[in-house]
Amino acid sequence: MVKPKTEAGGRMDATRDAALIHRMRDRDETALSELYDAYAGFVYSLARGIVRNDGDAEDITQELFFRVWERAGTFDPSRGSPAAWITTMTRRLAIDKTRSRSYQARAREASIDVVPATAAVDGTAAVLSAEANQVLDALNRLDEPYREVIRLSYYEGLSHSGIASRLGTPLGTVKSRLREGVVQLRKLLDIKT
Amino acid sequence: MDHKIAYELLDSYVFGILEEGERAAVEAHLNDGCTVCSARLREVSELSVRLAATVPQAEPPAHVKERLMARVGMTHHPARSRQRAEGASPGAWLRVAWGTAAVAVAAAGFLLWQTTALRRQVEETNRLLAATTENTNRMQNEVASLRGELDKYRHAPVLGEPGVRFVSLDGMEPNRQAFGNVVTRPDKSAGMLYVYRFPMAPEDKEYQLWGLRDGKPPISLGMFSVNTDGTAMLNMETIPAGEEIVGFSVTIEPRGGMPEPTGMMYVKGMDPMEEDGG
Repeated sequence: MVKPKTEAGGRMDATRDAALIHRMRDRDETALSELYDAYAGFVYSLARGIVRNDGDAEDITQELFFRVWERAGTFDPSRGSPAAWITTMTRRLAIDKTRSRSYQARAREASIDVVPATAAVDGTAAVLSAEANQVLDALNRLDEPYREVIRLSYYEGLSHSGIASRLGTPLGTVKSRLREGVVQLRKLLDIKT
Repeated sequence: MDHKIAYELLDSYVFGILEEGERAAVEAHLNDGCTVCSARLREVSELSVRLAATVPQAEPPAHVKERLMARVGMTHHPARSRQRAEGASPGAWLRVAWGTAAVAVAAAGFLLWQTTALRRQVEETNRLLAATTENTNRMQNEVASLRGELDKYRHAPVLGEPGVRFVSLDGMEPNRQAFGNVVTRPDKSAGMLYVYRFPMAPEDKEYQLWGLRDGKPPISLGMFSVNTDGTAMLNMETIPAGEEIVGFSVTIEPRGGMPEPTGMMYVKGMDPMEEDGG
């Protein structure tokens, strides 16, 4: 698998990153600093794509790495790579943010949504990396119903019910389309564990 | 949670779009050790990482890391965490600011008080030093004066000294109440006059002591004034050598003295040893 390039210019390295997380168990701040340098751009960009504004993305970035620091002892390599662990936590933080009352209030006042949700479906992928373009190519090869559910769930962070409401589609259909879309995408990207 | 349900929700779990209840149920199922779900979890997680690369990349501001490391430092180093925590919140900053101001005011007040107290101490010390210096000078002057007086009496005879001559002076009319004594060394080289019940002399007058000589005019042995109590003492420092003094008398004379007695005689006495031919 081609390793995604992080914002800081470094590449994700499961072995190195797991070692950094392990060192954090011993309260090694330099390990946190190194991991931050490797993932900060990745985390910030991912969060920013969901919350659509810089301030919230900054808060989430800080909170994410703080949680990594605090929960380093709970990291389980058998459940996935450090990058996967970080990605899942980042997404959860960002989506929880969009579901907060304060965020919803600001959304109604149109004070957010200033950042494009994703380059993948907005056609603004000109500066994306080769890895990103490969993923976008795979997404575009999905049938529209699957691609749309993945877009709404992954890039906009909508819940099952939210997607169903947005598309006017039954909840069960949303779940099945998401599940099938993920399976097809994994095959297209040749993702195996 | 049922395995089938958990399995079907894994994609949404990784994407982070489950509601809190479903999320907790999936995690509980994973924690139960379902290997099938764990394997799928890894696959979907890796897909999630790949999808994340399609998001427009941006760099977080530098202060994000600074705040993160400071926050970690707070939890990692409790001793310094309080300082950082206080530095992190506006309320804490205010407390620190007010605290600092209060300390500054207190310090300024203390310094002012201390300076004033020290200044007063210095002034008091200077005053005491001046007083002490003045007192010391006065005492030194007194000592010098007493030494001078003592020096004057260094040749005076001491009662009890072997061979001391004693001459009583009796009052003469109209001052019969006056009397005196003269004490001299055996060779009459020095002596002391003591007088009592003498009247105060007019300002232009003084009392003059005379050494009475046999067949010769009296010889002046000194001038003196009397105290308010009518007493006086005169040190006869040096009696001219070779003079045969047979008695003493005191007359009142113009200030500065006369070469020979001209005024009223107040007391007179003869040396009994001389009178006895000894």
